[in-house]
Amino acid sequence: MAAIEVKDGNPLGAIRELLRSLMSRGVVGALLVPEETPSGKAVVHTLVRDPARLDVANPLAPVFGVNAARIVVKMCARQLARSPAEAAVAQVGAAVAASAGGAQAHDVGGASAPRDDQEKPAPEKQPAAPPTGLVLRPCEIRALVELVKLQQATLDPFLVIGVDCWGTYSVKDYAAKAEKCAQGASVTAEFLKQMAGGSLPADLRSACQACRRPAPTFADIAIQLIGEDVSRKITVRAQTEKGKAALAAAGLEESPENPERAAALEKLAAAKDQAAKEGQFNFLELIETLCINCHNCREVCPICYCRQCAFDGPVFAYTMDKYLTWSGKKGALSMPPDKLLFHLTRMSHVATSCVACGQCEAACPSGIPLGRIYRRISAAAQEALGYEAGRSLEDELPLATFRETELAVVES
Amino acid sequence: MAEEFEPRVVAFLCNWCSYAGADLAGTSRMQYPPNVRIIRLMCSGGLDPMYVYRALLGGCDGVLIGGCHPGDCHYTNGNYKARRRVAVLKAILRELGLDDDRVWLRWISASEGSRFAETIREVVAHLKEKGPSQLARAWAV
Repeated sequence: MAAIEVKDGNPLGAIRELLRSLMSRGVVGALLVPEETPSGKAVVHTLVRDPARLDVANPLAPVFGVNAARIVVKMCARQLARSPAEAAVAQVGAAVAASAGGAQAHDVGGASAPRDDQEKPAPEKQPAAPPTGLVLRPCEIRALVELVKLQQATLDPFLVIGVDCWGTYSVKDYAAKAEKCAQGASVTAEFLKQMAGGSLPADLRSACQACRRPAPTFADIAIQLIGEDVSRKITVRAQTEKGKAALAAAGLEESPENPERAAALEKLAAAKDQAAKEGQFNFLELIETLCINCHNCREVCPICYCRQCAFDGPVFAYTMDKYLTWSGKKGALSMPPDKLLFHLTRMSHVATSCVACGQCEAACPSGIPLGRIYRRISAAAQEALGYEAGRSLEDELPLATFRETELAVVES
Repeated sequence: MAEEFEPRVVAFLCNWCSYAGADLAGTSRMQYPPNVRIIRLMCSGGLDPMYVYRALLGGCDGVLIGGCHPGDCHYTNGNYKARRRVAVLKAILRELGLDDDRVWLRWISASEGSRFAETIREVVAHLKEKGPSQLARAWAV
């Protein structure tokens, strides 16, 4: 636990300094962090190894391009995609190494047992490569937690650095604002100033307007901004053993929790609840009239991870005769016939793990308010099963488990 | 006089209990409405909600999912998992303003031929009262 002083009223500078010290002291070997593009009109996730490049790192920029959980999945894919035979060999190797005192037990985590590995005592071993730091927003962390449980990612090679988030603009709005910004000013600085005043901008992404979880649910190191006067001080807290060790190695001192934080989070959540309640929608009409069947919502969703989607395969492909028969029965058949089916199926598949990041809405070329729709259906589905996506690594995936006496209400 | 509305029902029945229950109803010459089309699955836990939506969009007015009684699943716990999936499915339908009472989940054992016949009677009566499904119209097959 530590607090960092902010110099010249520039919290971004303090965070860059923190990241730089993590890297220069070898606590992390690399950092996945949003970096400002040369034009200043966008921020993109970048894997940084040169500490000098952290001069343009900007985890506070209020813009949300890609859900970085997808990037992490990509980074883990080859390691986790080993053939079952290889995985089995690795597992046997792990067992042998562990029982023998475990000289090399470290390198065998994988798709089969990432969580088991965390529970084992760290074996003595030759110095491993330092972890890669992931600087993530709360919704990215929630998605990552779900993906780890879905065995699409592992946290072993990473140090998760979570940053509070009041909300973000769409990439388009952010670019427009950056263009209008005066010389020397920045959208980030303006935004932080506005947050200090306590008023939320009305043009935040709609998912952000209704987001109740502005703080990371899980992080090795949490950078806490909400409830702080960020022009003077930022609280940095270690939430895991890994995070504690990392902060100690970076030479950061301990400091107590900010007592005003809980109240500030509560206040922010209340303001957002108000936004979440607004807006009715007619789902059938929205899909029938607006959806162009591009499947972009699936492509950007961090939770939609299948390598082969049922809708890209032959499951619902029929012969011409079939289509003509169906059409003949009623006189006309809406084409393509699986538009609504796609959305309903996707909802059922992701509802229990949806973290309401709103990327589906950002990707929709027709402006269907998918973020709001998914937020509602996932909240209902998760409530029905007593689950909250992304809350913790320990909660079991709700569709992979059950209680013997429950849900009598769904039986007819 | 207008023709009476005859609902169409697809029943997904598990191989070990409900399908055998339906078979018993048939071999015992029990009477039940002919509105149901049965699709046999190995286990109710293996039913992807996708197929339930496909039936509802394909012109079906209701879907029955039949599985073994709790504790009796041939695969130990598939029916418990089916129940969770159905809970999600119904929550989604409700949230979208669609009828969640067109999807029925019922435990029917291999010896309960009469329960199967009774279930079909109940489903059909319920759907007749409700009328044609709104979703069937969206993809009118």
